[in-house]
Amino acid sequence: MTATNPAGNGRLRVRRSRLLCMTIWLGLLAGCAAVPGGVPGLPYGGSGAGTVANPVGPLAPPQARSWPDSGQDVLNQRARGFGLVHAPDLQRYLNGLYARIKAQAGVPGWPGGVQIVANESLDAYATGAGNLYVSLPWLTSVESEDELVALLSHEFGHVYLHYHQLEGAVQGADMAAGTVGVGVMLVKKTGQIAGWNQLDSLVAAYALGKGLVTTVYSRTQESAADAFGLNISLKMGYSYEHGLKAFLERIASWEDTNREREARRQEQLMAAIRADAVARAQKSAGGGRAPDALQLRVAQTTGEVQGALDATMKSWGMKFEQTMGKLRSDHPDITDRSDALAHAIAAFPAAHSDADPIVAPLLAARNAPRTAAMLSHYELAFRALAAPADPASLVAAQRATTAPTAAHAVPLFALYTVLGQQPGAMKRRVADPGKLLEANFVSEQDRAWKLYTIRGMGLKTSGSTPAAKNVIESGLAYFAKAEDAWPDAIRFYGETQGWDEAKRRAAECGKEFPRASARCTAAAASPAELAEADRKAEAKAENLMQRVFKKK
Amino acid sequence: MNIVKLTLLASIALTSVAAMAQQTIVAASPASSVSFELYPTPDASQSPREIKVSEAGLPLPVLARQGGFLKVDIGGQPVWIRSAKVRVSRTSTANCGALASHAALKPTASTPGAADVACTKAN
Repeated sequence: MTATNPAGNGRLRVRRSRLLCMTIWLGLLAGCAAVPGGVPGLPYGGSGAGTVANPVGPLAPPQARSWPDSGQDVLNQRARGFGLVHAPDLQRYLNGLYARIKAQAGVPGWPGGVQIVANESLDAYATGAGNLYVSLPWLTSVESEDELVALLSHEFGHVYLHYHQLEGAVQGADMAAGTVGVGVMLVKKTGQIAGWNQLDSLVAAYALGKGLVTTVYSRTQESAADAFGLNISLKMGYSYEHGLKAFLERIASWEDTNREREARRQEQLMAAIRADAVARAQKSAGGGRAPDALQLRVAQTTGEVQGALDATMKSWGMKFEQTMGKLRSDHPDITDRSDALAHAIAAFPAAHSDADPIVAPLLAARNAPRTAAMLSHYELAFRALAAPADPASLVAAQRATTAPTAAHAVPLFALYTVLGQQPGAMKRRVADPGKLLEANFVSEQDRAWKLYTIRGMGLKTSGSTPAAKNVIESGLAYFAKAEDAWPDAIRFYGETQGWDEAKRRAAECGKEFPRASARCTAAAASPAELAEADRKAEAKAENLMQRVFKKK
Repeated sequence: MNIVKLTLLASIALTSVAAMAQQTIVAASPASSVSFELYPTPDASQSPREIKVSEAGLPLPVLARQGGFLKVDIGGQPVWIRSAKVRVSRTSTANCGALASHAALKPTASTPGAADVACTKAN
């Protein structure tokens, strides 16, 4: 339920035209002419934080759609990262909330459930199969059921509003980015020589197409999903203050923390890059040779280039640093999102509540014995991974690999990592720490493709190629229907059975999973083919860079 | 259970409690608001007094919560502010640790997620 006000639309159109100009400009700079097509025609939201018309108004009826297989979708997510956390008690609680959300939206029969992602960042997303994926820290950080329902309602908003039409656009953008590898090489090249870090970021994020097209599109989604989440959660009796508002505030705090860390990293990088460029130029001059023209130019103009970009941005009314951060984001500024909801609530006093947050059911779910043990074990595993050489980490990791998480991927990986750092720490020396990972392979619910690849590559590196092959084969037998497992497996086959076999498997993958075709094909490229592609791209990048500098 | 294990578990429990306790008011909501309404008690039927946002001394630690109100100390006086009218900084148990870089995710057919994928961007 979103609407944009007429005055805002004019401003948004101006902003969109500026974005378009910037894309064309950067596209020309990178020699990139390809722009992804096939973006479905969703309402444009510009900055993405429009006005919420009525926070408790009726919902528009959902669009008809065909549903991907929910089970296969879950299997595929288990093949990504460290997979999912099988926590039946906690999931029963989450699925109960999800069922109430669907019923409130008038679609109680829709498929999909809530899955827990084995990740330590604050992450949540939805898939077109109707599944909601929420990382562990969300579940341990939310302070009330109001906030948890806000999170789930927001994610379900993406499903209800049928925003998975975006998949086609993302796919198109990925493929377009793949066809303009020369742009990537330009970025790499400038990174090697002068590390135009900010130019790098701009080119990589926008000139390659995906950044702009899907960013604008995604921002619209996020704000609409906020409005949807507010609507559903208020109708379910949860409060704005403890629900959607708290949810957005937590995201804002998380993003602030990461933005500060990223800013520190960027500053350090830029200082090192400048110093390196100047040192190289001085060295070539001091050695009796003429200064490397390109190096010197880079050293002299690192500031100029930044200044020129900054001036260009300012001419569009944008601050360079802010623009960098905001335009790279898939999400509208979190303050804009919060403000849109704050205005909506202010205009509808009936939606205002002074009720206390609903906490008891959430605490009961988190404190149920098996769930509490799981959550504390993951916390121990994360701590062990953060400091694997610390003697306390061995105790933490060992504790994490006891019931009920004895076969879970993250705790096993934590213990494996700690033993790699402290090989003599255990009373009985473990001959092959990698063998610990195999506990995961016998668990039907906890298997994670990541552990198969780590174990397989470990065995291959130690010369046990037949054993490595067995591990990968058995993993792929289980994850055969998971498209995300295939690129890793194809590369492994290339390295162990030859690149013709890898290409045969890549063709099989492309036929079965058109969406993963490009990644499978890339995984089947032999080292010689990759080197040749790199050589050609670098030559083009060199040529382009010379042209860029000559223009100055 | 030995002392090391007990210490570990206790420190986890304390961390969780601390995460809930460390909240501060960082801004007005919406951000364009120029004043705060201060209530002597957490009761919306009472008449509030107004102060400018710029004079409130942000950030303000949250001392207590009751319903939709937050208790803060302004100028040495305990007062209550409606939660809906302020933006609060909230901690989380998340971080961009070692696992995030190991688990760098490839593109997938999903929505972008509730927040930016900050870890993969930074690592």
